Amino acid sequence: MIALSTLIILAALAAIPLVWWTPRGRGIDAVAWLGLAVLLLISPPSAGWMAAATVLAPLGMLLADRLRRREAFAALWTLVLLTAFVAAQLTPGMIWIGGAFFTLRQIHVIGDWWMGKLAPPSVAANLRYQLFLPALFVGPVHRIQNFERQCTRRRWDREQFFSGAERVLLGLFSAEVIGTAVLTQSRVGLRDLLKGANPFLQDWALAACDWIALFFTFAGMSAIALGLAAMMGIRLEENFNQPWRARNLLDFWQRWHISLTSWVQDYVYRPVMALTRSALAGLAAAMLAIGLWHEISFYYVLWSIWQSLGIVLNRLASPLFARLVPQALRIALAPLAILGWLSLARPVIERLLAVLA
Amino acid sequence: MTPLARLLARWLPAPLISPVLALAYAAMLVSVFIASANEAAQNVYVDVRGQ
Repeated sequence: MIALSTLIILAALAAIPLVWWTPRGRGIDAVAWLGLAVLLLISPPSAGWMAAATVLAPLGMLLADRLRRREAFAALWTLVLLTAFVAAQLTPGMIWIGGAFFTLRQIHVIGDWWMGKLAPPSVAANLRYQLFLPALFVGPVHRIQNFERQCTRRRWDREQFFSGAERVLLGLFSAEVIGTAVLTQSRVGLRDLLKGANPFLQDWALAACDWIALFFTFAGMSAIALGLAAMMGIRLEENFNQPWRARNLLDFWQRWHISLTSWVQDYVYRPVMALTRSALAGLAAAMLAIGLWHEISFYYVLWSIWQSLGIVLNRLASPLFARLVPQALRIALAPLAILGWLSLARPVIERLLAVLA
Repeated sequence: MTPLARLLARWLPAPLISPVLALAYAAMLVSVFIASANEAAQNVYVDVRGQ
């Protein structure tokens, strides 16, 4: 695990007594202030930007409602958020924490307000939502409506507290022991085993190994975030639903990083679909958003095209497979086929980039 | 009861649940401490950049 992320997890653990000792109704606010203090300590630019944006957004929404300039403010603020996101990603060397998740949460609040689904939140509500320490740097991309409901209903529940603590421990085990230690060693072993084999096949097999490690690490980190939140009396949205039991690639993306997929569905896929009346355009835009959210690079542009292509091919080939392959075999082979396609992206794209360069 | 305790309760007699659970927690904690000595691989989903 990365040192700074360990520090944030320790700070979130330290925040748990604070939540229960602070007078009821102020506990989650205290977590947000602690989150801001931790950010200020390790990344002043992140702290400054997040605090300013968190305070200014609700004030801007109130002013825009008064001036009847809702569309203009929503467009302008989204542009500001995206510019800050791109600038942070393209500034090498700067420590930047939680900016990617923060941008998604901010756009969700602005988007829902613009569509009339949400009243402008108070500055305090926006602060506790945007700077909720357990979800700050690893998600999930939780929604403000559910979060506020949870803050209001929050009460001490012994079983929820200890189940959350157990989930933190299981998450640490998944991320540190399986995802990092065991699979890093397995990767070394696999690389040695494949020495002398076709380089493309070597890269493909190592990419598959990395995907499995990524699952254990990311699912583990998500479990830590959800467990810490549960210990504070907050039930956040789940991020995984057994992705390796997916029946096809589209099903996989609906089970992997669910909070991001549902965000993209609400704020990219549906608007593009409504504008163009084309599911393909919606899919391409959604995958492009997911790719560039990971990293702003040409690699991820090609990665998003690869994923869209996979879903389209999957959809086209499904009727044929349904006729030719028995259902039980299809279900058994689906995880392997999905892992094969996901991991094939890296060797193909890297070679394509080398040719283009 | 935690989820792990519920799972153990399906397989073990009641007096054994607490000791086995304690052992499992201890084993996980120890292995996490040992494993955390390794350097972590970069992960695109951990939003900590530029360190």
